[in-house]
Amino acid sequence: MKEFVDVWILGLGLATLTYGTPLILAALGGLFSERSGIVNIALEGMMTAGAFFAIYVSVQTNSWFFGLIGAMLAGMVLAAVHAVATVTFHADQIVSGTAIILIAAGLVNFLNLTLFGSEGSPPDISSPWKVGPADFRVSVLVPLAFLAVAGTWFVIFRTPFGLRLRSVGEHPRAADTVGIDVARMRYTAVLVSGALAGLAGAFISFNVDSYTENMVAGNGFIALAALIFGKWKPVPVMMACLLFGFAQGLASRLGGVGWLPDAFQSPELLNALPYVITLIALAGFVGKAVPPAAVGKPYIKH
Amino acid sequence: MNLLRRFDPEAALVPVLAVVAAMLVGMVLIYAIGYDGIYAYGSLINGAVGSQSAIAATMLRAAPIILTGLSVMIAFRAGLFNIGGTGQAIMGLLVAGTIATHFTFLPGASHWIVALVGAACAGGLWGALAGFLKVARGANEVVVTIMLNYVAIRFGEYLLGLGGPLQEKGSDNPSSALFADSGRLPKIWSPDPFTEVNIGIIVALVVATFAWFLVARTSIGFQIRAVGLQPDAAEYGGMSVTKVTVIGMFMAGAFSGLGGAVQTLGELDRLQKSELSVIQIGFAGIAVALLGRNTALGCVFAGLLMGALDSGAVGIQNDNALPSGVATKLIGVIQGVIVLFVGADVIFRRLSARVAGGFGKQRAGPASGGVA
Repeated sequence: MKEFVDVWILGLGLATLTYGTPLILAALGGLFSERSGIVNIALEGMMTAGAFFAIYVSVQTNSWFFGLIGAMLAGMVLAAVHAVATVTFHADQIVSGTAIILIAAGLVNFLNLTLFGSEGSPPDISSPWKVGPADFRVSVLVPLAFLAVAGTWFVIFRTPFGLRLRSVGEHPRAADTVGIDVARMRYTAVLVSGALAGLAGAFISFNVDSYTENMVAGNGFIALAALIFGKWKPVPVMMACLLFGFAQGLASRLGGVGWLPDAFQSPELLNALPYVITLIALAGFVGKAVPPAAVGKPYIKH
Repeated sequence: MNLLRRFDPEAALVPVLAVVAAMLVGMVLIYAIGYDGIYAYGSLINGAVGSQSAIAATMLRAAPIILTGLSVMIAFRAGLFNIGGTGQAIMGLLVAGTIATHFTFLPGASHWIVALVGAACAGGLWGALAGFLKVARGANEVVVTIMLNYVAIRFGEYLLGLGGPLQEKGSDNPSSALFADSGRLPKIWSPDPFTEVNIGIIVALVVATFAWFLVARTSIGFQIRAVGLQPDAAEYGGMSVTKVTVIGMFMAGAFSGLGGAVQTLGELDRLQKSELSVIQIGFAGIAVALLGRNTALGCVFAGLLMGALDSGAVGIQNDNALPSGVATKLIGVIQGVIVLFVGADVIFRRLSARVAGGFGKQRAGPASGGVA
């Protein structure tokens, strides 16, 4: 019984939080951006940048806190490129996002090779505090992510800023008419999404205290799926992220279970499970997902 | 997503400017890490077009990228964004490799031809699945195709992994048995003993011609364009958006599947697990389609350019003009910047309007409302 609790309750719970937290942070980032009318498929790239710069800055300053700041700034720099391209120059948002994913992957791995060399980052680095009881210790970013959910809900639904943000995403022309600066709102939202995605990436690399190529592994896109699945609302989005995090945690744990058939023991097929579950969730149970009305469309001021 | 379709002379200038701007960004990066940018670009040009062997390497690398570019192009035309080229290419190459290894009863040239056809079908079905999920279940095709990429990678890794169904029996390596000679793509030109151009480039040109004909001259091509431009109007006009979406994604997947097969049967002698997670041709195809302005001919030229950049990276590597492994990352950045500048082409349009002079007033508005 003790073993069952350790492995399947505490262990799986811990794994769900470990895989779910970066999804929550990134999905909240996507929520800000899409609520303002800008699709941000570049979350994946911003997470990659965050993952690298968290480690790099932490090594340089010997402070995980500055590492987190560095990760957020890196995400925001890429977000600024996305904002300039899509808000100011009306570029197609998916195309710009794709460009940023390509640039982030190339640039980060370029920097990783030139700054750290082929051996990678040094083994001992300053890493965020762990909090919680002895057998359930988690990074301080985990409670922070849940606070961010509450904060996002409050900002989006209970502040004048949130109201303006939503109006810009639903009907920019009307928002413009009543004096809201559409471009400014969208820039702010996209920059916030970059900071949150950078933080999400930092969580992933701090979890193993090093950066490796492709370590974000599609989590930015899973976060986007969670955003759709949670219908652009903070709490349902968080639940979707925890579900997808649970799927990844489960996949990481099933390998050792003796009575399962061989195919279920294959680490490769188990690793495919989170993506399959994301697909099933998107295709099967999402129902009618209605995004913010103006999402994906550039706003051209007359 | 009806981007960049109508032709105008100004638009033809954008890809050229985008490439030049991206190369400048790359140059800045090289100097930023303390290397000689001029020397590195010299090595790049030399590795891309500096000799017969270099040209052969460029043609070899261009073939699969032209095919994935055509894949993204045809999906764009139907109003869909296909980021799933990687997964479709993997499904294609798994089937092509299996046929090339085991279907040795097929006589002569039919062996590799059947392998390619199998790849087109496998990639096509993988693409059609995304199209089906979009129209039947309302699932966003961008997220769906990316999830399908990861599923395809893991599935292939399972098949080729130790003890997997496609792994060579009795071997300790995570790879298949050797392809039969008749299953590999025939050589058409070999300027030196180490470089061989295979029929893949011809396949790519034939498929490009087919794609042009399909879009410009057939009924289904007309429907694809109509649905891509105005789905509601197309539906009202009696077309089935569902059918066109699924067929469009099938064609897109088939082209990417061919791309994967052409790369694998042309450059490798067996399927390898380690190759699956590093396949770049899917994302490169997006750059090719955008740079080629979503035309078949444009994809051919853009694919040749991307192939040249790829073989140029090898040139940089061979000359030690940059630290080991850095050149390929640099090419990735350059591709991304190209996509960004082609996507945000208003930048150049405003610039060229200013340079042309006098049009300032007319041009003051957003010059390319068509990007929306």
